[in-house]
Amino acid sequence: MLKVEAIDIYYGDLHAVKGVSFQVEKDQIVSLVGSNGAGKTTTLNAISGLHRLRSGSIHFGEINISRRGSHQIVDLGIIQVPEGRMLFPEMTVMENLEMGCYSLRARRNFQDSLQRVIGLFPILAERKQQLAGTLSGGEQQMLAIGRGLMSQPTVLMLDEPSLGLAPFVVQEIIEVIKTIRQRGTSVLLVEQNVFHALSISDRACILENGEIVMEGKGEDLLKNEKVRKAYLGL
Amino acid sequence: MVIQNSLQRIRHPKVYLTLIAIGALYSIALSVKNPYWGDILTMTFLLGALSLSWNILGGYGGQFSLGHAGFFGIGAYTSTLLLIQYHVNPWIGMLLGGILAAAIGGVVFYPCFRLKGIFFCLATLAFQEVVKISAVHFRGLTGGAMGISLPFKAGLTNMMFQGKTGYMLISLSFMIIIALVTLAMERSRFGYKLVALREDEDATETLGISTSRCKLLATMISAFFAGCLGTFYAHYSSLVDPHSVFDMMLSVEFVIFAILGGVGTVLGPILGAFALVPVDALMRGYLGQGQQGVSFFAYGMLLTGVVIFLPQGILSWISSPVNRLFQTLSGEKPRPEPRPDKIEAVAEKAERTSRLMTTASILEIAGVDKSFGGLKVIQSLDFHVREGEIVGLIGPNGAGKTTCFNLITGFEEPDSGKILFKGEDITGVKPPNRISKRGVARTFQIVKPLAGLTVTENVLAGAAERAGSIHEARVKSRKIIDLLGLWEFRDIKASSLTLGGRKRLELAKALATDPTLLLLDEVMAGLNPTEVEEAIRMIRRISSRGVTLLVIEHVMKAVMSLADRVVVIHHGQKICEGRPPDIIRDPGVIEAYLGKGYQYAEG
Repeated sequence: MLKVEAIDIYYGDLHAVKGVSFQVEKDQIVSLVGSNGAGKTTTLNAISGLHRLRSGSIHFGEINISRRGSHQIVDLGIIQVPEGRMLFPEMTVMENLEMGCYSLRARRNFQDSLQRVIGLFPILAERKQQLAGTLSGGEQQMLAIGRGLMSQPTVLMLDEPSLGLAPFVVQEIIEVIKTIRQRGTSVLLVEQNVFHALSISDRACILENGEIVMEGKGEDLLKNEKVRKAYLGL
Repeated sequence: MVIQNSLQRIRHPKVYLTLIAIGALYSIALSVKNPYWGDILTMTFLLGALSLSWNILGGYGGQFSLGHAGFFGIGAYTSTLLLIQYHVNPWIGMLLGGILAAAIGGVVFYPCFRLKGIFFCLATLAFQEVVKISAVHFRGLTGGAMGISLPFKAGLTNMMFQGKTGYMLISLSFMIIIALVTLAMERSRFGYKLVALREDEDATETLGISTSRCKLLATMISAFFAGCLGTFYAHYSSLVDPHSVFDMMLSVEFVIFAILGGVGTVLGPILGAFALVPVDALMRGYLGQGQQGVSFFAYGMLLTGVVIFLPQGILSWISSPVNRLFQTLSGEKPRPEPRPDKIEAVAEKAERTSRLMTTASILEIAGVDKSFGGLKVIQSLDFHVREGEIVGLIGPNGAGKTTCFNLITGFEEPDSGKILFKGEDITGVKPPNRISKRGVARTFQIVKPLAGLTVTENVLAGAAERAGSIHEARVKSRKIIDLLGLWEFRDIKASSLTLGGRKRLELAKALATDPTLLLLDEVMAGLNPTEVEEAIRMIRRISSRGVTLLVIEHVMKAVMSLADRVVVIHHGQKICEGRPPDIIRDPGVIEAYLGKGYQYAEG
């Protein structure tokens, strides 16, 4: 469904992503795992149309999206929830959710989307009128994911959803990601909590210095000796 | 020895090319006899010098003043009045005018520093208008809107000349002097501090640097030079009147030249003035004869063009070919910086913890309360940290952990209760740099790198405050950068580091202040388990150097293996305290924080 083929991305002279290829199929959770600076976020940004590719292509279904603008990619149903949440802190929870439903296609389903998001995160209904900036870290992350879901995406890309969250909130978020998949949205996940990420992933790619060095089923990688040493610290 | 050193330096292309450029400028000034061109050159040098003086506060310090014509006019009026009424020599009058401008600048701008961004701009603009209106109003002293004419008496002591050559030479010398002062400042400890505060004030405060004092000093230097130049201008035009010396457009021009050339650099304002002043004058001369206003239109187009195509200024456009030229000329490769030697191993945790039970407490929080609006964020919080300990501070998101750090470091003041550091009461001590000076350093959860500066410069800003010399600060920065594994990135701008890199930079900046107590706010977030292991080793190393640590962390693996003791807070209250293995079995902690599914093994 989402097909990334041999993409190369540069920052000036720095070759940040080197010939990376992978696919996200319907109803899958795919994880990108790797150290800081390995090129995970850059890859997500490229899919969202925030980075130009030097070479390679990205297809969504039959459509080549590598040269499309970000807003067009959003319209096609690929949504990124960025690292560090990036909410609109001076807007209320409700307004933030409305912003997630900006495109014409999404606006028609506003009520339906809102019900689904609130079903997933009941706390957001309670905090409807509160400014997003005053929420606790966990609530902010839920709002960020909720905002991403408001346009009923086909692929949801989550960049470090567990960043800076208390352990029990991390568990909640992981459960939510599973539910999102069950409801028919594919998830492309970048997560430093490698243990959690791999245990829920259908497929995972390990990135090192911009290259995929290993890929496979989440469970298999979890058992892999190299992965355990390099990324799980075991 | 001294002579040998300076000879060595002259061989460097940067130095001899600069000397050649200066020589060329002087010979141009001496050879131009046409008064029209003489006027254009004098104004170019003068405006270049003024833009340079604005640049000290506006470019390096990031305090965007739109009131610098105010200082210019104060200088012009002061020396002129002294000359006319008391026959004070204009050179002495110039110094006095500069000093008065600096003094007024200090008094007026100091309270304005509480204003940020656009509001500071408006305040400085208002300052200039007030000075202008005063000059118009107090006719008895200033001659009102008509201004004051200066009697013409040629001679160097009178700062007046037949022809333009003398004026050209003086204005050029001013420009060069201010450029040299700027250059010296840029490389001084003060320069690093000033640039640091431009990038992020809160972060700079926590490095123990008094941002208000730095801004004040920059204002005074900047205003002093602008004032001196006012005197020169008064003698050049032999007339001082409010509408020419206090002109708002003049203030705007200082800013434009600097931005156009490259803000916060020595050469930028000069390049800007050289690019624009002659063009402006020529266009007025040639186009002005035709349709009215065409020259303004063309000038506007030119400005717009530069801003669109060279948003970083002319200097950024030419700097890389020029640097390459320097390298070819000098024929040497950039010298690699000496990397410090590797460092020691660390004590075992068990032995540490038992030893630490006996030390005195270094930080004491006693009955502290804090509310924001009606919301109680911290409620009668009590805990202490012993010297040499690593204490973990954990709790759900929104429990008040970061607020607790803000209370300790002087960003917030408690409503009640006491905070003691080394037995001294530091409750409500402000601003944050005073806490930092006592030896408390912190990192920020939302990292605050000095984004436009390199990693080295980031660390240097903190080290500069305490080191005896800039050289000493450099040596120390190198050690810290290496200790934190940032060596390869030392010349990279902080803004292009990954999140993990920025977290480490936070630590590096904090360490540069030689803390006795270090507060870490989620430095492990965004690291994968293996990187967490590295970070744990790094923090142990810091601890083994005798630094006491209070650590906010959600990565339980790190808390478990680092902390000698853990304090758990929930809704601003302490719910539990003890050794890590006991904490994770506590039902209250599991309920509020860890969650029922928590297993330690999975980290």
